[in-house]
Amino acid sequence: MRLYTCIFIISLLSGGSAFSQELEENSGQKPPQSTDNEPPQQLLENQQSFESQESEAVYEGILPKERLENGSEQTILVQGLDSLTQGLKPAVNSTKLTAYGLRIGGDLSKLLRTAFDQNYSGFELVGDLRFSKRFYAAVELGYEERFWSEQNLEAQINGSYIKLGADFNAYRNWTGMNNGITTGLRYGLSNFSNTLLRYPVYTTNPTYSSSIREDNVEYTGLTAGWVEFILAVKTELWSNFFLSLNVQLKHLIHEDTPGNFANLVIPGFNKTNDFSAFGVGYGYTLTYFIPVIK
Amino acid sequence: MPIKHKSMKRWLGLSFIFFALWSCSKDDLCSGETPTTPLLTIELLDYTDRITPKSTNDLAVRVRNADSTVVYTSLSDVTISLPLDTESDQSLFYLIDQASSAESLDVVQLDLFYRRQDQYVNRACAFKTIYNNMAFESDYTPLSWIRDIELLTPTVEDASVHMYIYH
Repeated sequence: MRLYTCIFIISLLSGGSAFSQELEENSGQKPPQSTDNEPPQQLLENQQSFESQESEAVYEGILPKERLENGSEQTILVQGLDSLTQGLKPAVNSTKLTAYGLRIGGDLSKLLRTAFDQNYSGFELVGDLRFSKRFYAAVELGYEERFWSEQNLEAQINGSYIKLGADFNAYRNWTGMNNGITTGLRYGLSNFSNTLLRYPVYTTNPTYSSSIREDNVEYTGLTAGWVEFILAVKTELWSNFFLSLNVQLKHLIHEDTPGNFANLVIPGFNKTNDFSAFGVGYGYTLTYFIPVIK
Repeated sequence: MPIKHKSMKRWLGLSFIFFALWSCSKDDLCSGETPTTPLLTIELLDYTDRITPKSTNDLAVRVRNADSTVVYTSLSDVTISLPLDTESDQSLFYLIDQASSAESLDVVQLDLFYRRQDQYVNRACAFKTIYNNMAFESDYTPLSWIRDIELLTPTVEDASVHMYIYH
């Protein structure tokens, strides 16, 4: 399985060249889904559907020839992977493809940041539930404490957030592979406190100097909500362990403005912008897949 | 390698937009056009008809402190702008006419009293101070260069004219 993952990554790095091309073409006619106790006859059909792609795609090398029970010779062809041919067999065990279940885990980048960034501490739990062939219900739960320093402002923002939504797997896996390029939408909701720590008064005339004010004004019980577009690449590192890199584009829908101040950052949304409602984020998650139905 | 995969192009496009948005935050520096702590704007009018703007004649404004810090100088202006102290509820000034000449200089005191209030502007400019309950005291006489002073507004929070000086 790690080999498939490797191929998957190589195909991504190479900008999705011929190998991806082939996958695209395969996607037109996917091998039929199969269940645990499928008859050998259906396996054969799987193989044949692979073969039927042969004329459409560009192939160079010839991969293992297998003699099946009925004696017909099936040829599986893949481009440019001659050196990797030893372990590469078309998947016979296709149970993984139809495995439905729960994937849970956490965000590694937030833990790393907590360890190395003095101004940040936080964590995020992530989970998704596969409810149809290509759709997942997804949820993220997190807590963040951030010391935020602008040129003229210092504030402390603490709070938790929840993001609810769904993912769509746009990547057509080979039989037996469980990788994904997913796009998804989330609604995010955060509950937080915002404490204004230090600020000077901005003056344009230098006659009177302005001191730094340290009022420690705390605004509690603030909420903010946003919609989020999330794009993720997911690879199965080991059996049932997934590593995922994601980027998020957010648009703020509503926020409680703290009296005579503003929300410089919002937990889960990250930095706000004075001139637009957009925000960005990223994540690096490790998850474990618990199969429920196969 | 040439990119043939259609959806792969889409991902690359999306990620490009993403990073473009990431880098285009323009709220790093406080723009000079953003209204921050206001200055007290004074318009100088002719005392005889109380309407015609009358320019200063070699005016200097100094703070009434140990250093007599110079705040403002102008040879001929019809509006002057003075800063108000953001750390104290009063600002005390000398308004000096014909400041360059040793013999004929004419000094009038102008003391301003107010309540301060800090107001959030934005993340680059942080806070500004606005001034409420404005009041003034002055020692002008019929013989000094300033003949009358009129306060127009109890609040100094923008760049409009707040005070008339008749001379």
